[in-house]
Amino acid sequence: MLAVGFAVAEPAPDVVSAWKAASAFRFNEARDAFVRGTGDVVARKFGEGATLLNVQPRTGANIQRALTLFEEVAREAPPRSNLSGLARFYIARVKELYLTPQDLAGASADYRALLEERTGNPLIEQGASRLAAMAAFASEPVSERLKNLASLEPLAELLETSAGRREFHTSMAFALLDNGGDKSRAVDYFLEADRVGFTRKVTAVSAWLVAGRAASEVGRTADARYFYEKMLAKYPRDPRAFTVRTLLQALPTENG
Amino acid sequence: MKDRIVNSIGFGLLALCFVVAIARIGLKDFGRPAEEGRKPVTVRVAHWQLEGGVRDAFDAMAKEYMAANPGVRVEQLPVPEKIFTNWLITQLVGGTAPDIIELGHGMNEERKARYFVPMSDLVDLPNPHNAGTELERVPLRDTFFDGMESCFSQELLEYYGMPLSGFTVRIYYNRDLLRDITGGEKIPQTYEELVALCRLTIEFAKRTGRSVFPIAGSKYNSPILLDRLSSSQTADLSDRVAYDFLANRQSASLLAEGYRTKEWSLESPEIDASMALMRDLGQYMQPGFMQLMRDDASFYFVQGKALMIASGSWDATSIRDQSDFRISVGPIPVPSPGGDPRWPYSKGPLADASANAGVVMAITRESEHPDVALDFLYFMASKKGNQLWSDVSGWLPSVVGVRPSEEIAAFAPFLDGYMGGFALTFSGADGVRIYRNAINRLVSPQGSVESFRETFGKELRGAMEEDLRRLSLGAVKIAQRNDTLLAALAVLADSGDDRDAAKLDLLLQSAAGNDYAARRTPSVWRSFQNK
Repeated sequence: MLAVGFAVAEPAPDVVSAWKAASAFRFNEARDAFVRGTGDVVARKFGEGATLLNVQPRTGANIQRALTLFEEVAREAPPRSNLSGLARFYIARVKELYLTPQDLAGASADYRALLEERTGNPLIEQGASRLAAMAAFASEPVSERLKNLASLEPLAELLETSAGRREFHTSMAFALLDNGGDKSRAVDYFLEADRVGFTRKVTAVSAWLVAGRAASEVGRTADARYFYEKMLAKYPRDPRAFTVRTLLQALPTENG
Repeated sequence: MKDRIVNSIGFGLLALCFVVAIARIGLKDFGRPAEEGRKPVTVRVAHWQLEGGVRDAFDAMAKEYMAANPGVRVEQLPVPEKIFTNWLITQLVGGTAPDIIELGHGMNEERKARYFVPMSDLVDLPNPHNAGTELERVPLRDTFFDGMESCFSQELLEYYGMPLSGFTVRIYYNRDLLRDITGGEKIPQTYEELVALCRLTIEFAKRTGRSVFPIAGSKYNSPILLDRLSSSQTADLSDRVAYDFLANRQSASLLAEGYRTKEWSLESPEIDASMALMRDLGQYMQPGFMQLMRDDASFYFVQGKALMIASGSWDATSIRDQSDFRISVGPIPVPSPGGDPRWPYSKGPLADASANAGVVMAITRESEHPDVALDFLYFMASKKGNQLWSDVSGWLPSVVGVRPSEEIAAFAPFLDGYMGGFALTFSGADGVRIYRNAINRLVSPQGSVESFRETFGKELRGAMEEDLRRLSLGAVKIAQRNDTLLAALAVLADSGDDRDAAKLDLLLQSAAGNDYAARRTPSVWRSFQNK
């Protein structure tokens, strides 16, 4: 039987299906869905802004429009809502990574202000690890970088989510090592991150191996042993396992 | 009048085609044996593995499966590697993709997400085709030796497909020629024995007038040997310069920074030893080998013009099939610690660097019969199916407990060894380009370490700078792409979906690491620009 075509309007997509499309890399489709869709206008504005960051081709006008939308959402969403916090996070993010030239000072100020006012969401709390990464490679002398990194330490107290704490501690640890900072403090950060727990193999192994080495270099043998043994217990068939076993054997015994 | 006749003929032909087409559809849909009671289902499987034995292995698995499932027909689509990417894109975009496709060539995370079915919900459940075996109750993920790491997308945070094979690299020997040369069939177990055998081969060629080289080389095969030898000398140097080298985090930028700040140079004793070692063995390959392709080297070997060739386990069946002599397979030995004083940085045997499986077969979203496709995939990845795969293809199995045949036992992954250090091509594509341009100056008879160092050294800094630029842009691009995904998962997780919350947690870990790289790599790149 032949189908006879009638002009039937497609139902307007809802916000959830638009986000599903975005999570599957269908950015253009998701953006259209947010623009045409039904549901909360402010939520759709945030969706449009977030998808505009990756709609192809990526143009300056798209980025500017995304920034404007995030600013509107930050004003229009209830002040203590996740939506408002996420919009503010993305305002900082656009300044950090999308503008030419990047506005790193503006991004840092925005992340800090946001974290001081609003935590409790794992993505918003990523602002803390972004601050650590920016401070680690700022175009200033290493001594200044280390001072700035130290000034970020109190942020840990503000972080409420496990993911926020884990990524902040991990980034701080690497930032110290990359700047010749206090290795023992870096080990403390790794221990904090590990207490939360990694669920991604690459991240976990990378943290454990670097932490094990830093711990052994500053004489914290028990911590080095802890990290190496954890890696071996979890991934005994990893090609690095033999090397890690030799590192473990080379550690001084408890009695020195 | 003439026009009317032509039109009538044309219309007649069109009508005939229509009738034939309808008849064919009718025969296809209704002409099957009545006892099946339903339309036969065809599952099409595409891959690019044209190496000897692999197509036979797919056929054998299909035959076994069809015998047990009379209503199912499995068709194999072997597509040449050179055109696989174009073919794949056409099929995916055109909506004509087969049910199961090998992941790899032409694949990126976007295509995976868009066109393939994730398997994450299945990895913790047993494979039904393992019923009655010791894997009956084992979660699918743990039935593979790599824990399905090869199937996990770090960006999409989903598992795609199931792997069929494992891979390692080894040296293949012409056993008959080995007997002619040495009077025995013992293959070298140490680097020193390998070099002694190369010398014997040269003497043999001179003595007998036979045109035989010790090792068949090419731009594909030679790096397998030379990079491994080189890395045996740089392990400690790598650890010294890049604190995260063993962690394999973002060490390329640290190694480049170390070069810029003169923590290491081409004059460093470890690099000197590594170059000298490459020259030591490279001189036993046929002249101009870096200009030759993979097939040229294979041809050299199977024609009996070279005693050895370095290649992967994937070439085992092809090489055996094409050779009219017996084959032996052995490890790629590196200098022994405390042995020859010219290579003082050896630590011992090196582990096979990658422990991940390959030939990952995944189901497409286009599949008209995803349940049947999944069942066949389960079968291929079951203990029984994978034993059949390994026995017929001559490739290593991917499933725990499957016994590799005696012929391929020598390819079993070696894990009781050290990790090697960096190769001189570590920075990326430009590093590889200048290395290939200069390598002849190292390994040709008239070449030398000094000559290579001079030529390679002139371009090394520029190549690193270009590679750092590329790495920086790549890291920023990934960070930007992650931003939309993170927003999506954050909103979806906020609406109470536990799966999205778990995916968000994984992506946050990946994104934080990548964001860090998006700061560190450009920072090193900038330092290269400040000359």
